[in-house]
Amino acid sequence: MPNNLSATNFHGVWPDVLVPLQEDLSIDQAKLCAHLRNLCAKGIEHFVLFGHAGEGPSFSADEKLSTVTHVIASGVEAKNILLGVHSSSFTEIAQFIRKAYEKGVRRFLISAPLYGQPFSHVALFDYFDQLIKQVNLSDWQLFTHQLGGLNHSTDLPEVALTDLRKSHPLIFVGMVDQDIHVNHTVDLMRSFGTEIVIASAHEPNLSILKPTACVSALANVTPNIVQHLMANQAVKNATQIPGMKIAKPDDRVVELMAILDNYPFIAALKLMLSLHYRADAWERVRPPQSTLTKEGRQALMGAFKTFNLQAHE
Amino acid sequence: MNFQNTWYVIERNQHFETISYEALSLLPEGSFVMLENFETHREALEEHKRLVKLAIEDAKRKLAS
Repeated sequence: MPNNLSATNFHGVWPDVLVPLQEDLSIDQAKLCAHLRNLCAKGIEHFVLFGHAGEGPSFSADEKLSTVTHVIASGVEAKNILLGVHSSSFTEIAQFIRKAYEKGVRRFLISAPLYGQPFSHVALFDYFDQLIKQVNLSDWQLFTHQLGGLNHSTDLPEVALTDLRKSHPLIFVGMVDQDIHVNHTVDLMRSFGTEIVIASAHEPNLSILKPTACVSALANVTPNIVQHLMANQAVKNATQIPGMKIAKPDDRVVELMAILDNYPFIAALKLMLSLHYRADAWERVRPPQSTLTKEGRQALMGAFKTFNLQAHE
Repeated sequence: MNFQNTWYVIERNQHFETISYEALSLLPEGSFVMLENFETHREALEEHKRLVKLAIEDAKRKLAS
């Protein structure tokens, strides 16, 4: 079957969706679907499921597939999902992709294999090449997840990415760069920007990079800010007082990141969402993600109150 | 997703309200906080009820302290 997918369709804001958990730390699928619905109501159309903020590596393939089924049944179109895949076994990843493909998912976010040693670019190319051959389908898209300094995974070096692009131009169509350093993303854009989509995942860099797509954890709590940031627009403010300085979207992002900086990122974002929904259950994270200390939680709640999230944000 | 026949729980002027998509689209932008969207009126009212109960408990706690 020819590949009818276009990488140019991968644009705009793709929230790295936070995953709500039940008391036994299983996925609260109803709450997740409700969250996606609310984001849709705020103009978000695409979603990264089980990405970095979505605690992707913490969930089994079965949990992910079952959740994807629920999400699609709730009205999210499969073509609007970028699904995080985590394993260091290319056969396991290939099986997972084929199962998700049967449900209609066509875009997959895959990081380099995790080992306690660095790999050569040839070995990394072989890994992805084998993976693509094992999947043995033509109309799906691979987005590599460049994790930067986030964990011990090896980022794919440029030479491996170039080889991968040459060998599988219809499959390998994009990258999500989780690295916080703007130069890291700039280098990728310089090398591949005209050929493939480079989506930045660090919101403070968006106004500098002006990418066509971003993967955003903050979009869970401030979808409008991130959408305005991508569109390079000021947020419309209902009450404008002459002479009053109106914070620009990037000011608000920097402000929020400064608050989150000293806390476990996912737990802190989930606390913010729990305050928005008035639902404490949203605070749960799955180990090994760190929870907030009692003091940290109190301090963060105070900081969020000062941040004063507005209706239009 | 089609939102035309859905219901919203919003916060406006420090009150929770359950309103339809049509009613919401007539409100001035920025005059409310959209809390959640629901497929059915019943689900929206359930959430509305939960939020009011939480607000009452909060108020009770504040009065007691």
